[in-house]
Amino acid sequence: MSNLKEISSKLRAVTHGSPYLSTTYQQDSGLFAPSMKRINFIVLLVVFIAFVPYISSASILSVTNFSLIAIIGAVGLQVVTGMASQLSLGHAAFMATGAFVSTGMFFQMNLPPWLIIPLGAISGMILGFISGIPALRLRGFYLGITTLALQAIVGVACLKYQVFLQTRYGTTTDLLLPQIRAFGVTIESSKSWFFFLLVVSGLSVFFVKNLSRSQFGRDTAAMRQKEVVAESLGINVAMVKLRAFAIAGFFGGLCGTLQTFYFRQASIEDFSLTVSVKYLAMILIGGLGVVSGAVYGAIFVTGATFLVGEIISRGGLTETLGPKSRGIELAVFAMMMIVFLIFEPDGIAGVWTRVKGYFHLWPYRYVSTTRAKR
Amino acid sequence: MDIFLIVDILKLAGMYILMSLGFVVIYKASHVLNLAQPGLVMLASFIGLQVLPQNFENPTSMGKILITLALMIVGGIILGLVVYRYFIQPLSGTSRISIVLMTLAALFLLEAVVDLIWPGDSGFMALPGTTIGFQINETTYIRLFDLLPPVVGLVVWLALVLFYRLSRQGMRVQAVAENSSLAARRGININHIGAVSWAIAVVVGVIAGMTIGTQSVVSTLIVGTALKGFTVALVGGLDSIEGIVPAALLIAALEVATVRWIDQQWSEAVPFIVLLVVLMIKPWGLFGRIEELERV
Repeated sequence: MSNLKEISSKLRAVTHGSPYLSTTYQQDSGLFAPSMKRINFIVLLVVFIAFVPYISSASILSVTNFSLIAIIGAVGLQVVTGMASQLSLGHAAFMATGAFVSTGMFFQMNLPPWLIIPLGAISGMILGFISGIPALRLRGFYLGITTLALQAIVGVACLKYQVFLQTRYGTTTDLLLPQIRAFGVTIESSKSWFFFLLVVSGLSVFFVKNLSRSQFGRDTAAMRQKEVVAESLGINVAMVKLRAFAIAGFFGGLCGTLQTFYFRQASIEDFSLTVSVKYLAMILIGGLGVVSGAVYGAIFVTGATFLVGEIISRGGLTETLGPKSRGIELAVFAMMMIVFLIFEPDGIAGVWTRVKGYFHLWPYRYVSTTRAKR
Repeated sequence: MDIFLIVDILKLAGMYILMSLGFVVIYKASHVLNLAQPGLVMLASFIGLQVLPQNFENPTSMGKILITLALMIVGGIILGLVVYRYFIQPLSGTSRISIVLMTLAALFLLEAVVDLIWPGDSGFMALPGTTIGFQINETTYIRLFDLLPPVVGLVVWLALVLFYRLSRQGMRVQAVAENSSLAARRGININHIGAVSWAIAVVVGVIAGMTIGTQSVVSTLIVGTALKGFTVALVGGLDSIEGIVPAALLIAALEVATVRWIDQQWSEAVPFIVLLVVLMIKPWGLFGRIEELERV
């Protein structure tokens, strides 16, 4: 009987409660505040997203799929750079590891794709762990630079491996990866890819969001404020960094593996330093340290890149600007980074909080967005 | 012992000295990684490519080259001040990671600019007198031209060392690096120091870009080469200008040896492998200060 009472009181909290009012510790540490409005919003969002492949054109659907892949990578980088505040210039190295390990596993060991994808992610995690080892001795930007070293070394190793694969198994067409087949389902059309990626990236975002309220998440929050203070409070800072890098590596590897299966081919040019910086730009534009920011940023950067290409081709500028498209793309995302750094350091997530707060608190003016910033 | 090996090492070490100075100058002033430096080096070398003739049979006079260099240095000073005023100064007071991200954005902006103005260009800068040299014995002939990078590198390096050791401005930079808020309280204009440091960094980048352009092909790949200068700065110790020369020699020697005896492609990764090894043993670099790393 008391059980029923408990449930009904919980239900009442959801239907009538305010997201700003927590009456129990359980509510306080909950992932999302109990609020009917929020649940309605999430349900509507999910329904809307589920209809995306049926209402959008093929090119928009492919951009959506790219964004979903990018979200996985960005969420991983958010853990190490946003949450743990460690500059990582080598995110593309994790992706490259996932990509080439999965290619190698298929061609050399003939494993099925459904097994390769988690193994690719784990290979990224192992590399992330290795790249975090200098954290045991290094602090600050010195650690960030070791990730740059990682980018260079992994780049050369993967190039060597790519050449080896090409000489042994033939070039482009022979090196195509198979479609993913698991539990009687084949993922081949972009529509089926959309749902598959939606589930995977949704789970990734949920995992990292959940991480931010775990012991690890609170440790990173303390570390972000002041490393020395965090250490004196009994947090093993080096260990936290190591775990952050391992988690980032896991999602980086997963992102690289999925990207490889999506394109059905791995090429080292897709994992250059520019890609690492692109992911940094994503979390910066979305909002450093905010999990939802990684999602906004990934969609924003992927969408903006697509828009630039679309404007060039639709506006009939292909002859004049076509050869310069790479430069234009670089310029656009460098400018976006600079504009956000100077004018909106909180990123899109900060804008979202402020706009939401403005309407919520109207006619009062002040909205605080400084929560857990640096 | 092969004399060409030594010349190659000296040549590469000279370039590394020039490329790593820009990183150290900025780090010394503000404890921020200056990731824009490779972009500045690249921009300078492309401008040099535009201005100077590429014809080896008919190179311009030395005077014209020196005037070009002087003009570019003046331009570099202005660019450095502009970069500091409009890109770095607005971020003062925010976390260091956002300043580093800003220099990263600046790097990609510079890359985009180069890509838009000179899409796919590459080439040499021709200097007069590239064949002048001295005969050692019947088979070996050393060109003075090959010794240009180490000489230029050493001169610039020495100038900067003396600047930091002896001049008033250099002392101020060191004070700001030590503790910027204390320095400000003693009447040092921090923004002034930052602007001066950025101007120096860009000028060093200009000199590096011009020197590299006379020695090897100018293309967008220079960014990758200049990033290796970063490893030199770290191996020597990020706050130590003195450490650059031995670090550059060490890395250049290992890289040249790898090219010669092991593999061309792996040599690209050698500086980074050296960096990882050195940071494991001495995390503050070979000549950096220990407290640099431990300081709260």
